[in-house]
Amino acid sequence: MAAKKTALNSLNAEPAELRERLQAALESDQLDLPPLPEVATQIASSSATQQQSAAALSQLIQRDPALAGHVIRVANSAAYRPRAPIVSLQQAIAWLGISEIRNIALAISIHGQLFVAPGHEPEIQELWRESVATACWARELARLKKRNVETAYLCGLLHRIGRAAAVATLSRIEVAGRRTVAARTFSALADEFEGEFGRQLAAKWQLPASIAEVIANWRNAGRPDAVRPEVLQIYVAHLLSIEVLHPEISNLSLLAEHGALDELDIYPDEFETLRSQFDLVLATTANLG
Amino acid sequence: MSERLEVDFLVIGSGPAGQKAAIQAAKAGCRVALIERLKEVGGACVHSGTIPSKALREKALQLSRARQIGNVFELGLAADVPFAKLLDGVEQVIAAHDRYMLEQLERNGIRCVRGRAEFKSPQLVNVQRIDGTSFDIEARRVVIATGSRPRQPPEITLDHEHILDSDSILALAYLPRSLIVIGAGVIACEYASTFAALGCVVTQIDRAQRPLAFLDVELSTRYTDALLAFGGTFHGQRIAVRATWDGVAQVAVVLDDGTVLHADKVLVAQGRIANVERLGLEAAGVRLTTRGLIEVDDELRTSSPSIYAAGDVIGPPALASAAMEQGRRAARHALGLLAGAGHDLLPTGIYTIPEIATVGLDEAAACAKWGSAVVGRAEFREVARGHIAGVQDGFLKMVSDPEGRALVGVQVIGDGATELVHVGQMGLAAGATIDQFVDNVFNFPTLAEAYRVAALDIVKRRGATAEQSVVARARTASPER
Repeated sequence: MAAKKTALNSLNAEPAELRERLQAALESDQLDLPPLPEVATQIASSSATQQQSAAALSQLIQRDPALAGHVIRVANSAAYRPRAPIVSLQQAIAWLGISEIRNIALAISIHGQLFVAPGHEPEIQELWRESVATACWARELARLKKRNVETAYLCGLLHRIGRAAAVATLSRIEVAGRRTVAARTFSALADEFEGEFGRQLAAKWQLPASIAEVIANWRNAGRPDAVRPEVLQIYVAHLLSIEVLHPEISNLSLLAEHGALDELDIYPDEFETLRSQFDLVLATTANLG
Repeated sequence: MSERLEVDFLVIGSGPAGQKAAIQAAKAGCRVALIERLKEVGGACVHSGTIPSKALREKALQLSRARQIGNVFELGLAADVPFAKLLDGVEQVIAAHDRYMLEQLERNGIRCVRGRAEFKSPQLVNVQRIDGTSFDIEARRVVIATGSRPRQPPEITLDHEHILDSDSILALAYLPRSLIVIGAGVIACEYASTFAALGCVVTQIDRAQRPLAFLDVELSTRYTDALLAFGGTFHGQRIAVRATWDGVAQVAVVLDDGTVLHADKVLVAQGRIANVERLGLEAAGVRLTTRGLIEVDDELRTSSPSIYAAGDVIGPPALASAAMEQGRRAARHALGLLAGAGHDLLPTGIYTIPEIATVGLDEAAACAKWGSAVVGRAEFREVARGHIAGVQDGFLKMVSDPEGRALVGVQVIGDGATELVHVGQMGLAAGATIDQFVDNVFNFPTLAEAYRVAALDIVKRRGATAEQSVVARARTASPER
């Protein structure tokens, strides 16, 4: 009986009605979106980027015991090869450096608080792994082209935050209406609203303009109206992340089709050098994702 | 059959030298192609060097002037000001410059080709497009103007996050609290003084005893004084042997005497190296110097008779202005046209704060040439415009021959130095005498008046006789009266 009811609700879940609800939520500016985690806020701010001391960061992380535990777990992982077991945050910071710890803490806190959608855990988890891999690739790309490395990493982590929020909102609609939206409809709506949710989140969190632009526009890399290199950088990093995580559906020919490598002045041999970081990205994604 | 393009004249690199070479050849009636590796034309000068760094310097200068004017206020940058804000408007400047250059190239019928060039023979160049495909260009004459890039010293690993070069420093997210600059050449000093003026604590290190060691000692000393006044320090005769991110919050730089310095960021600016890899110079028969630069003769011809080179790729002075002239001259020589004189009088402009400019001989060079020289000085505080504009810590030096008659060089430090030096340059080109600077009237109030003040100083120093009035001469002639 219950199974029959769920199926019926699924059939009744009209895309138009859901679209209207999502649109209404956006227009009324009443998105039930979580705040940017404190660690992420601090890291996105100037004081964290340039001036945060090891002690201050350690204190910040320790306020959230689960986060502290995760940081120590990741610091002990094979990817970072500690010479001795890491048992404290200070030790982790000394071994990995404050910027790496910041990156780990940032990733874990964003994941734990923002990538949550009951009933859609596999999808949201996949979205997260994609974000981590994209962040790693973006960092390597930034080094290659001498762009800002820290901002590139953060852009990668946050580039799909709009989709995470859209998935979370749709998931709440499902829970509230005790129904299941058809997978295809769910996915199409999440696609459709990703950009707008991302824009609203970036505005609400008062992210720097360059990061907000990436979140809003990274999917538009193929459009003729030129997008900024920072946005293209995330687009390239995103496609590389698909190659790492889902080689069976990877389509790097899109890079040529959309002229992204051309715009970023990346020649074939430079691209191959970049791709040689494959194992490093995979290992980092496995640890953080 | 492989794709092939035939031209009379091929230029590799679209920086200042390449552009001028291409335009010169086109004006001489040649079919010209210009190969550029990057999407935009202009080279490092436009995209990662001269223009962006000068835009940043302009902000530092504005802040420095504002502090001077409002010295009763505590003026400074907000701690969280995004670095990009300090480069405001630079994209529009670059875009406008790009447009202008492309129009100029198009107007002259120059074919712009995007790709990487590799010589197959002295007259055949293969071009690899960014998509990996390639084609050949056959040319009678070639000018190599591929420029340079920051040198990475083997003892220091750049991560472009904490340890930067002069390209990646422009990608900073925020202004660091402290910066160690390794190097004391033009680029190192320009960035050191710019960041110091922006409020960053700058420590400069170099193996030389003083910064800008190729300059007149007085200019170099005034630069150091300004750096100290901004709260910076200079460690001369020291070598940075290691720089490592300390794993906590700062980069540690270890000096050869064991001293360890710390800063948020480190800029490594120890010269530049020529972009010659991948060019296949062996196939072209082009030799390099022991410093890895393309070897050229006085006519900018390489060891391969049909190939010329210009700009940073041939080494000092590595200035955009010099590169443009070299490009033009290289093309003219290559085409058998007269190149004209005047290239010995290239002015040097250094965009430190305060800015520095020099043309011709300085005091040391004049003394080395003639055994002595007469030098006239004018402090900016001696001219009314200096007071009005609040530009009082600069000076102008005129160097003359030992008789104090012929102008042989000019050095200027202070606001407007890079403009002011051109008066001296034209004087030198025209063979002007010191007396002409005294006899001619300069606008009042201007900084150019400093020329007259300095010329009068030379007149005073060369001996009283020449300047005695008729009355004084008469008195000298008849002492009894």
